[in-house]
Amino acid sequence: MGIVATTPNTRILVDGYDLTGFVNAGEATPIEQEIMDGRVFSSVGPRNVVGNYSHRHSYSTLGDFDAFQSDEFINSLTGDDNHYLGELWGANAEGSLAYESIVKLARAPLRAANGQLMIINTEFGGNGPLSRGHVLGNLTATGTTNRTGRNQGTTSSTQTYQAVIRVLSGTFTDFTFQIQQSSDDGAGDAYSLITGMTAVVSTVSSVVRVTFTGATEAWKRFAITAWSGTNAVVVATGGVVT
Amino acid sequence: MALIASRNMDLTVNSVALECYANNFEQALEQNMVDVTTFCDAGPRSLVDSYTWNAQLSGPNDFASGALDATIFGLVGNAGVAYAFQPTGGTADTNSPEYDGTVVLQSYSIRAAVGQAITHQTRLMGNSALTRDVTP
Repeated sequence: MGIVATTPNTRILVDGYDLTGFVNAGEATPIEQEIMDGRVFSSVGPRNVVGNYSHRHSYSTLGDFDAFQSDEFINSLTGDDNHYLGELWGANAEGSLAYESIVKLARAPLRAANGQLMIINTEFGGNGPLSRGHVLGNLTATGTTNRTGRNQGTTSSTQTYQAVIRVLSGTFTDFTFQIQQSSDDGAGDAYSLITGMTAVVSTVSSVVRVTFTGATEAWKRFAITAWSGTNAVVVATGGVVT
Repeated sequence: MALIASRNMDLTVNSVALECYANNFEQALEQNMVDVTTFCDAGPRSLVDSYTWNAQLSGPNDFASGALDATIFGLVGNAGVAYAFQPTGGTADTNSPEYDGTVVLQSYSIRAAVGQAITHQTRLMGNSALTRDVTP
């Protein structure tokens, strides 16, 4: 992928809700680092020390006041709960880049003006780490499946690998997913479950985040290993927590 | 005096050429001016303490492996990477300076809007002396 246009493939996902259909502009500052001045008398030029980082995200969201549309959903985000924000910039196919953040709703002013649509300027503030990874699954699931493996590199013993699985819609009883690993995309080393990165999902418009801290193999894939129901629109992302 | 078009510039950060991801760029050096004006001075009087410098670039984003997004995000937590800016492009000489230093990532933004390309705004903060090299 080279230089990308924004439409129609950008996706903004908040928990198990696809906000994309209401967003006409967005800005994410994924990273703003703490920069501390470390200059001393003997310094020539600047000397800085890098500390922690913060992130924030804002979207121009069209106000739709029907049931289960943007206004009701954004209003449901108020309170102290964390939410999982997925940003797929310019592409959402499996293998595409995926930013995942843990956020809280900071503010959502609703603005009206003559001759204009009502806009909810939705702003999220970071409340946890951010991950830059890939879309491991983007499908309408109808049964068990193994998605294509992605080489995301190994992780060390101190790194955390996360996956966020969203069910956006569907009619199903439940399904079991796994995040699996292999050293060679299953050529000689069969894919196997990353310890703890599995769950049973039984609710539409839901989100599950699973993590593993420790060494993992380079190739990761999303798999549905048990299924009961008709269909489910599932988006799964995976990446290393920054 | 040779006037040059901006499109000739070269920018390298952490060994990755970034000029193809920018349509706006600024390298700014700011000296710390300490006011020492006294009652007997006519007009202000200042001393220069030290200086800071930064670079800002913005333009179309690119999420491919090894491109803009991967390069800039890779600077998170990094204590400093090599920076080189050649206003005229090409090798440094007396008529083609190269500004060299070390930078850390201060902030990185991604922007999107209907009907427009996804863009970035990146701010790098100097983390060393900034040198102007004119040696071929």
